[in-house]
Amino acid sequence: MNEEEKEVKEMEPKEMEPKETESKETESKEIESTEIEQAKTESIETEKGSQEAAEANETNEEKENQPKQGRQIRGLYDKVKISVKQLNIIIPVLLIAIVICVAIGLSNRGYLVQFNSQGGTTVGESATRKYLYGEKIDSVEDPTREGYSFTGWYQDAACTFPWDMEKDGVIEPMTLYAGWEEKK
Amino acid sequence: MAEEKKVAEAVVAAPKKKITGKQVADFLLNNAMYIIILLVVVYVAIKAPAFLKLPSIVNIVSLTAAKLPIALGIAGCIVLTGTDISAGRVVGLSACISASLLTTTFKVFPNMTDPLPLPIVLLLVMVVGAVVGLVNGFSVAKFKLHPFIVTLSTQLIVYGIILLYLMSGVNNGQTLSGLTEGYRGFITGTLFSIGGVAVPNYVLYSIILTALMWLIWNKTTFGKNMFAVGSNEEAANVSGVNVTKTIIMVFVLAGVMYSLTGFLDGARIASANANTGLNYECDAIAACVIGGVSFVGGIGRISGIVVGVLLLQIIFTGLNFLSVDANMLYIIKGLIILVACAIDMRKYLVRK
Repeated sequence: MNEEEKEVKEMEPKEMEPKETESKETESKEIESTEIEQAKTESIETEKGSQEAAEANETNEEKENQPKQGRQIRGLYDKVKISVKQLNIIIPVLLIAIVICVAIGLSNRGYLVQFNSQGGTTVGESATRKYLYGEKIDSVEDPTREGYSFTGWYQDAACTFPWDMEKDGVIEPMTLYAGWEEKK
Repeated sequence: MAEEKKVAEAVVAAPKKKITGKQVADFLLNNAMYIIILLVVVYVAIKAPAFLKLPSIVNIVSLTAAKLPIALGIAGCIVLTGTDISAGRVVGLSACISASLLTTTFKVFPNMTDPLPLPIVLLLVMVVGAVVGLVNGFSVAKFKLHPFIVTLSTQLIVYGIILLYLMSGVNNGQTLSGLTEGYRGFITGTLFSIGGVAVPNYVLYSIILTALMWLIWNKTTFGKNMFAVGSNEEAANVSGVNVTKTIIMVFVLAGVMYSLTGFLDGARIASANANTGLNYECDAIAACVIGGVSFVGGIGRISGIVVGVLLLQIIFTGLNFLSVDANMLYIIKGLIILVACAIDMRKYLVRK
């Protein structure tokens, strides 16, 4: 109930606005004229259709035309000049764009795993490839480095998060860093 | 004749019950986001059945809980027809502060021997968040600067502070880690287990914060004032609302929420560096718009925000399961924000 009260409250202050909207009337009149043109083309098309469809269109247009008399478009949409018809096209177009992007993303699927020996010999060229979600990384021979012994592969350069080659699965693009311990 | 009359009446009566094409189109467009998410869930469930298994669901719920407080904070700024792009960096700063004080290897403060008590650090990061919020809110309220300008500068300033903080002591810009058992256990310890899968403690903290924000938004004068100022600042002012105080309090509250997110994230990721919190505000704003917090101002529901964060998390976890190219995710996220805004605008224009 409180959210509804809020929307009622939101409408109350608007009653004080008609005095301020004189400057905005020219803007709303422009929108009104384009709406009327669209309404005319709409009503011509629907004469071919059923009667209820025409009635539904009329009530929608009434809703669109009423506010132009007094209401003020506000917030971050203050200067927005877009009609419902344009949005009816834009929304499906954007949705199709999202689907296309997902499809493209699926065709390049996989997360790249790379190896950084941090001063040791270069290893893991065959294992440097794209892995699917949850896949274990291919086994890699241990790198060597003079004066140091290899302590394992880690997820970060500072070697604080170890990576278990047997158990851990790839969940994002990553680089494995070699850990070294000075030989005594 | 009576039969013919009845038939005629039936023919006239029947068409009125048919659903018009326009109603279907309206329904589809207004709920486009939910339909897309449903399709994604179905597709992922077919391709990777593990998506609907318990560990995956617990993972989605946990990630939603981690990203909820920042969305709750930033929603207040959006209700005021503003924005707050400093959110992510405040998260990062408080994560770094928490990680540097609740650690076993002291690098930023090499002279420290024991980690500070947990409540002290919690209070400290909340104060830091509140101070950033105060600077934001004061500049917006008193000087009438657009929140975008103000929060852009605070974003950069806070980032600079993070970099300087990480360079101090003997740390030299490295990632902070080696957090204390107490800190990690408090945040990521098991709340309870369902079917062998552990639900972490921060889910509970997130629920508590959500309930708190619901109370603030719906049951306090401050909440009512926030919506009044967001709808129409001049009318609210004339009605006796202290607009300056309301705006400042909204930003301070948001700042505290960001710092709490950072406190939780420090332990959740078990590390903190200069990139922690980067671009968190993008996800938070997207979640708010999907959840119905309109850019028109003065409109929003806590339940919507929770749903928005959850749906966004479901989409991206699903795409993760499909191993979709990680670079594509940014484009998809941007398009989702555009669609959410377009649907929001359409609802507003049609409703008027």
